[in-house]
Amino acid sequence: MSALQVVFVAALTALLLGVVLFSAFTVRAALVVRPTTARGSWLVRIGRASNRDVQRWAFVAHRATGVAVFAFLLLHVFDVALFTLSPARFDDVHELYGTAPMRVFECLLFFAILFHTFNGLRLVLLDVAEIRLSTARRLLHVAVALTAVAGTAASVVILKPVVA
Amino acid sequence: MTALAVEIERSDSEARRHFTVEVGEPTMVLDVLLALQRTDASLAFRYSCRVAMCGTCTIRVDGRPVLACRTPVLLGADGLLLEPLAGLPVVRDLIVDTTPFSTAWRSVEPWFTPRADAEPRVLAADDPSREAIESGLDCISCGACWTACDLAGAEHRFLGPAALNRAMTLAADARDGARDRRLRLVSQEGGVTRCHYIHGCSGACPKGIDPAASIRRLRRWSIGAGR
Amino acid sequence: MTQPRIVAFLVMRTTAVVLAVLVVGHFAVTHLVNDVAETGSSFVMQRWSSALWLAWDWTMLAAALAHAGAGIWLMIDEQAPATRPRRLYHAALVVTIGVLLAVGTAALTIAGTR
Ligand code: FES
Repeated sequence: MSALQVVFVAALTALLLGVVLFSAFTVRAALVVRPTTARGSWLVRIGRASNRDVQRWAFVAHRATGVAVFAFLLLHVFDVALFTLSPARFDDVHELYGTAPMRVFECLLFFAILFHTFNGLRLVLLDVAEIRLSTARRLLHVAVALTAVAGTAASVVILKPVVA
Repeated sequence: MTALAVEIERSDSEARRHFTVEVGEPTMVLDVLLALQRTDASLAFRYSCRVAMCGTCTIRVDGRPVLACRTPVLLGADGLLLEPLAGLPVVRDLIVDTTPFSTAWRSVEPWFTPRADAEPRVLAADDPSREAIESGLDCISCGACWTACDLAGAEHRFLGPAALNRAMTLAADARDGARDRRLRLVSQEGGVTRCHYIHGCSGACPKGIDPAASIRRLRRWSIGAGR
Repeated sequence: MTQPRIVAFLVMRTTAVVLAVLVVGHFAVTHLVNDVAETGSSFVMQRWSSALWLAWDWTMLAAALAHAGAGIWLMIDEQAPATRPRRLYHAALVVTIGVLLAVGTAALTIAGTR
């Protein structure tokens, strides 16, 4: 690996770690500050959460995915800016994007983008139209379903070259 | 009659936490508390009207904020866990200090201020604004929404669903003379932009109000209202 | 005049709609329509020779930064109740957003004028 590639991988690892920590913090805060099901450790309570709490989890997931995508942007702006310094160096780093582990990361990133997008559009819809609680919940189910379908389909396309 | 195991979060760590009561159906959580108080007179909780009108008996039952007087005990459940409301300082056992809640409530000027020109005086029965006003008018300020909201607790400086819902019912009224000031108030830090559609309030309200919808309405009206 | 927090809210929602198209489109072009291994410097060079793609990329960057900035600002408001550290976090956020915007804009300008 070249020095630049090492820097890229190190930075990405650090950012990923930060995102994981932030997500755990947000999930824990949601459970401890306002427990929705009171008994058991906070990990146990996640499993017990019912459909009534589904929008609370949407909020947590929306935050976590938003921070995750921003964390990637933090790195991506710089690796693309390398192009203007020297296309050769850009290619050096860009080679990593085609590797199997990075492709897995890209799939996860796309899942995050899709959820943030579909759930975000749902929130915009809630803002412009008068929507009842039950409908808002149902719209969330739709957003999650769209994320799952589009994300899985995209993952197949992204992973195909390395799996074959 | 069935034996029911009840666990109560006590402020005194020495106090008895685990009880068993004989209950029949239907039994409300408040009945359980009253029965237990005969066993342990030091058990503290609040209630007044017993018919879901005063909003004093709010506690958490298995994690969810509810009116104790209107929540039936489910027989066959593996026991009952009773806790004080979250996001408010505990005074004793199931009694909380509702000061943060009422401070937020007071800060939106929750009273009617007539306009200087005082026209029109009466809203016609078919006035379209009645729908918005009446959707939020049932609030008994019990504090269930405050506890159910992830953002309304003491730390986050959020006015909370109840106060904003109250502001909405007033600002919806064409006779409201303080509309501009009210909308400016709820557009500040801690106001309408703090709602993140968790809908904890709307799911918890024992009166069936949808405070999240009220907040969104208020936020729409806040666009262009300022100075 | 609309209150600043309401303005931030409006920015958040408008950029959200713009980004839904631009970001998903960007990802689709670089990962689904083309395989990511083929999007090296020659791909970038070809793409950035078109003013349309330059405009796409810059709009996407600016909208994403505005969106993320407004969102994180609010998160800081919620998570840091004390005034002093809060100011510090806000300042750090503004600097970060500023640097990203500067780097991105510089890169696109250089690429566009070459
Ligand atoms: S005692 Fe009055 S609302 Fe329950």
